[in-house]
Amino acid sequence: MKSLIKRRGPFLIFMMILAYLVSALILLLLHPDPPAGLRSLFLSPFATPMALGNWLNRAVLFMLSGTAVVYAFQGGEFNLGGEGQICLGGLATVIFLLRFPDLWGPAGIILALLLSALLAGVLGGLSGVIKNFTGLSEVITTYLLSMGIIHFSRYFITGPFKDENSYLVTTPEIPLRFQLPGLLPPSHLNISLFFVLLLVLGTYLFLYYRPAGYEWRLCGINGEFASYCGINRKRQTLKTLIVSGGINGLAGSVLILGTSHRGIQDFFSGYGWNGMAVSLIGGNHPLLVIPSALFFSHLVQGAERLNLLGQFTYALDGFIMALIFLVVTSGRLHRD
Amino acid sequence: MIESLLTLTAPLLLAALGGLYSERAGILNISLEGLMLFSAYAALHVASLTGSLAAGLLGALGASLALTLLFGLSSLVLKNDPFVSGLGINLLAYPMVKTLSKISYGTEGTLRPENLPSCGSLFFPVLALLLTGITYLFLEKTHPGRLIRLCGGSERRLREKGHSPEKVKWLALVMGSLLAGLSGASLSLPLGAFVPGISAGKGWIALVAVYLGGRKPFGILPAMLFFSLFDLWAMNLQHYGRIPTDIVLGLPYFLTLVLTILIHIVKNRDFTIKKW
Repeated sequence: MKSLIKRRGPFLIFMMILAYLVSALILLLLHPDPPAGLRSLFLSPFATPMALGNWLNRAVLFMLSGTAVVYAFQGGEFNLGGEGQICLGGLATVIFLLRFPDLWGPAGIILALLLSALLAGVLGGLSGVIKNFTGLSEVITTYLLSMGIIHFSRYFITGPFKDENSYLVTTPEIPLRFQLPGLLPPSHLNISLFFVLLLVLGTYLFLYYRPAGYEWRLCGINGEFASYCGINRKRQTLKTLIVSGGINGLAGSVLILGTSHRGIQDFFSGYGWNGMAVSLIGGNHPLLVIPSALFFSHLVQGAERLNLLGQFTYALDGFIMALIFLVVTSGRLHRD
Repeated sequence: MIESLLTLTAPLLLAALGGLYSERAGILNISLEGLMLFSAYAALHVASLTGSLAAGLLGALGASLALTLLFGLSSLVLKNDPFVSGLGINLLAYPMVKTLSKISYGTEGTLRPENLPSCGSLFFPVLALLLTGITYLFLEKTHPGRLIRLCGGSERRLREKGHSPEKVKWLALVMGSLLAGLSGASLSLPLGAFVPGISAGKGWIALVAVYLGGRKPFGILPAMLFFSLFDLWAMNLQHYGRIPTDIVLGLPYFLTLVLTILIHIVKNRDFTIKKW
């Protein structure tokens, strides 16, 4: 474990420093009052307990969607359907809990989580089935399926499940007993923190200490070699895409249960792409998802704060994320 | 009917021709969508500033070139995975357009500048058809075109002949970006407006059409006409209110998927993705 983190850790730190330097540079150039802007960007997530809680909570969600991408990349598959899978998971949770509002709280939560994971897992798995039967790359199919699902979901939120009493385009709130207990009210941080940390740790132990996890990674490192070793690659492809999609579904469900409590239009927006960035800058190592999610959450939170203050209307976090994608897999920066 | 079909086809056809250049040079260029979005915005912005269509077109070409420069720096110079670089370009186009639109027009929503020169509805369709022919001639009959095809076929043979694959790839990217820029302009200029989701999914459909058309300019043309026909039909459905808008907007993605699967089964041609 040490050697792995040693190999990928420096890259992660390098990327973080690069991202902060570039955002500082953009602020220095464009912000009317650079010192105040830098303070908001870097310190606002620590300013109040609420800001701190929201920072951690967003990081928890990024860890979930990041872990979904870790499973995909470690298994040698591209999952570009994160946004749609998170959307499907969240939507399933909302609709299920609004349709069955009389369930016992914990039962409703667990059923909603299972349902979301199942549906998003099937959506991911569909790309695996297509790949296995026709050879068509999952890169195209995960993306197209996800975009289609996102449009369909808008229909449910603006149509049959729209809350007519709200000025937002949203579904009604799920009943209070299905909302995950908060840890640092009034922030959004909630008990999902512990479960997600367990999942991250479990992912690490599974991928690096179980035979099945070894096979999983072998398919990602060298698929042909994995076939020679007798690993059924078609089955592994299917498993990889189902698990990756399922975890994204969980992310969508947790997003509803713990944070937004209702299906606001585009509630899932950005979590999928951020998850991919989180995984990539950590070299797809399951444990490095934690620091890189904290980092991304910090950046997004700081940028949102700048937007809120109205001093700086630029989508700073969007620029930084794009920058990271442009260099993150660079052969000239990676030496392993 | 035929006129609206041609108007719908033009942006897709131009984008697919742009994708064809990089595809033939062996680069899977998914940044088309970002290029289209940014150049659609740039075309409108420059045209309304100067009051000239030609300037708007140049603006679109410049915008598309600028993003492609970044794409090339990232994927060819830094050796980033071209697929991830393409994602980066697509992710970059959104905040860039948002920021520019907010600074210049004070809104991130739909733009409809007043002093926009009007654009003949047949200009872009005719241009697209002309460029289909030119692309065919360029790729099949000229020396640089042959080099691009060789680069996609076998980089080693290209190197043996004393050419640098990097340079050929740059050429293909630049040619492609010019076409993608025109495609962006053809989205916003005839409409006289810019909508934030104006390129939604079109870059991907263009890419799929490159494969459907057998990676040949005159194969792409019928593929694109077919897509546009479907689009037209979907718009009519929406118009008569028989199916909710959001469902109609989602349908092209599923149709593209189904078509791609079918063609893929028939041709059994693999999408080549290099893993880093």
